[in-house]
Amino acid sequence: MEPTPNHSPDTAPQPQPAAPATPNTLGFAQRTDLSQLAGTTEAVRREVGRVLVGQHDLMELLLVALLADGHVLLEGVPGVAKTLTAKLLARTLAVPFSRIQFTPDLMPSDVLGTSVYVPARGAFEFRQGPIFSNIVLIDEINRAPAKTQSALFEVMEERHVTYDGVTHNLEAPFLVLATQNPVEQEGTYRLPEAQLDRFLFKVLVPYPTQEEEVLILQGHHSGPGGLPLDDVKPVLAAGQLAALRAQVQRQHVEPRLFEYVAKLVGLTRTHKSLYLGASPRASLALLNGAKALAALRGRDFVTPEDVQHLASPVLRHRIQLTPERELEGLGPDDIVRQLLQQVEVPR
Amino acid sequence: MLPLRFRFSGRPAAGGLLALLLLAGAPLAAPAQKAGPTTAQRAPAVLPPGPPPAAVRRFSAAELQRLRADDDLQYRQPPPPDNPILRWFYQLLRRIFGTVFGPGSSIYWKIFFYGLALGALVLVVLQLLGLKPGEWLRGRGRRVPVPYAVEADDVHEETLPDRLRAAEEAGQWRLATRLGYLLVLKALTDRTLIDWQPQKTNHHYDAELRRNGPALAPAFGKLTWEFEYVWYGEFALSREQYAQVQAERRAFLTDLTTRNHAA
Repeated sequence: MEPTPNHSPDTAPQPQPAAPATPNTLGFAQRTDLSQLAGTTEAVRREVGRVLVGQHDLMELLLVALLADGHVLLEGVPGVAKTLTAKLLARTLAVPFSRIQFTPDLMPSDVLGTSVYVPARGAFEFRQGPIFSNIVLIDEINRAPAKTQSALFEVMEERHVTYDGVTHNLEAPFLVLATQNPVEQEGTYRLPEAQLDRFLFKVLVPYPTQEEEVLILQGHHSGPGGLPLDDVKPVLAAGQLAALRAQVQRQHVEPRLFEYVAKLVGLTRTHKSLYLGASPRASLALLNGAKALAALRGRDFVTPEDVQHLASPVLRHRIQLTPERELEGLGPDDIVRQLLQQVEVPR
Repeated sequence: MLPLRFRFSGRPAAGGLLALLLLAGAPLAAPAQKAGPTTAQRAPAVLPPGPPPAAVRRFSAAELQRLRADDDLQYRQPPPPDNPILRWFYQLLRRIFGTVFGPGSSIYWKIFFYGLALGALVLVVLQLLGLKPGEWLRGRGRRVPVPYAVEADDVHEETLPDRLRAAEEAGQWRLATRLGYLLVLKALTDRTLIDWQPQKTNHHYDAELRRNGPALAPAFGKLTWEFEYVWYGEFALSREQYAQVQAERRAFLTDLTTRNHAA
């Protein structure tokens, strides 16, 4: 089985260095100091790489989501290290982490929290659920019923929970890393569109390559047994992350690129093969993601290539094909490829 | 006999006995047929009397009439309840058409009506031709001012060198960098080293050049870096910096035209 590319299908997956490969011979003054961002993200990659073999594309997208303040949905068949990757990323951040295993009998109060009676005070008190954390790993999110999924709408978008008429705010950063098996798997359900739209990226976790699988086997064979998760140390504090996010937010965007993003997303709403297009939230996600990707690649400005690279992860879960196109065997990534071929790059 | 043999193969004694009886019976039956009575000796055949002539039965006309009149046997749908709005609308139509086309109606009403129909037909045709007649009535929609000029340049445009020269003379270094880069893309396209398409990024061209003309790739990468920093990054460019960009571009184009870079 060929590994599924996470980047947009029409863009060649060239590894991009953190610093510009071409020397700055024109002597342009650096407008933004991206050295701390480069150093920190490199440290995160290094820590995760102590356990995780390969999956460089996946790690890049996770770092982009981390910098762009967006939630990530990881999809892949069982056994391709979805949960492990999410746990490892959470370990590199020096913030509280919680994990929720979604099951068919899970109730909203199991996630958000509930009011319990405190006899000493003679009153009800809100007990926070596991969602009150900084990094939340929701494992197998598509095994829970729609009622529980709906409980996540408010908290994922607005970063607070309203219970019994009282709003409880969550502390920043708040990042949901959710894993799911493909919908065709036994006992899984399609997530509501409103919830899918709240994820910045849907990242497809592919099988490792043969070389990577050999490395996994060798490491397992020669190691002490089990995964050395304790070797992974936190390298990014909440305050640092907030500063990096602010830096990403200030990235320079040439005005024509706004139009490019809007055209690209707007086309999903009129495309004949789609009966559900992407929302303006998708445009914002594409722009924010492109800014973070540019920063990760050592630039303080966005290029059309950044936008094209992220078009598939941003759009693939936000668009829905007509039944006819699905029967023809087309997928969301095929449609995104068509869209990219229809919009002229601003140059 | 084969089926019999087969059938009684499990019990050969009984099967053999039955076969023997059958063989013995065959000659006995033949003389018996010969000894039967002749045709003349038989009793004359008498045809039985036929059925009486059929009587045509007719339904009672009175009974049929009664059934037809029975409400329980009427299967027609009852008419829909009278809609006062529809009734008013039909009356209005009847009055209008009666006024226009009825006996003694004025010729002016007819002219007005035919003019109205012709106008509607013209509007439909214009709409089908995409001429947007609605805009003539409403006026054009408000145009939202965008803080940039829309550039729709094609690398195959013949005026690119002239526009580059004009930009250089006007000291528009950023625009000149862009037009110069487009000229480079055109030169590479003319030599089929890249396949220029409006939707491709510079990254695509870089990958194509690495395949088709790897010797040119480093210099092209540098020109791309300069273009992206100046155009997308909007870095301000001085005359001296542009002179460097211009020199590198000219060197690249000279190299491209003087050497064979086919992969």
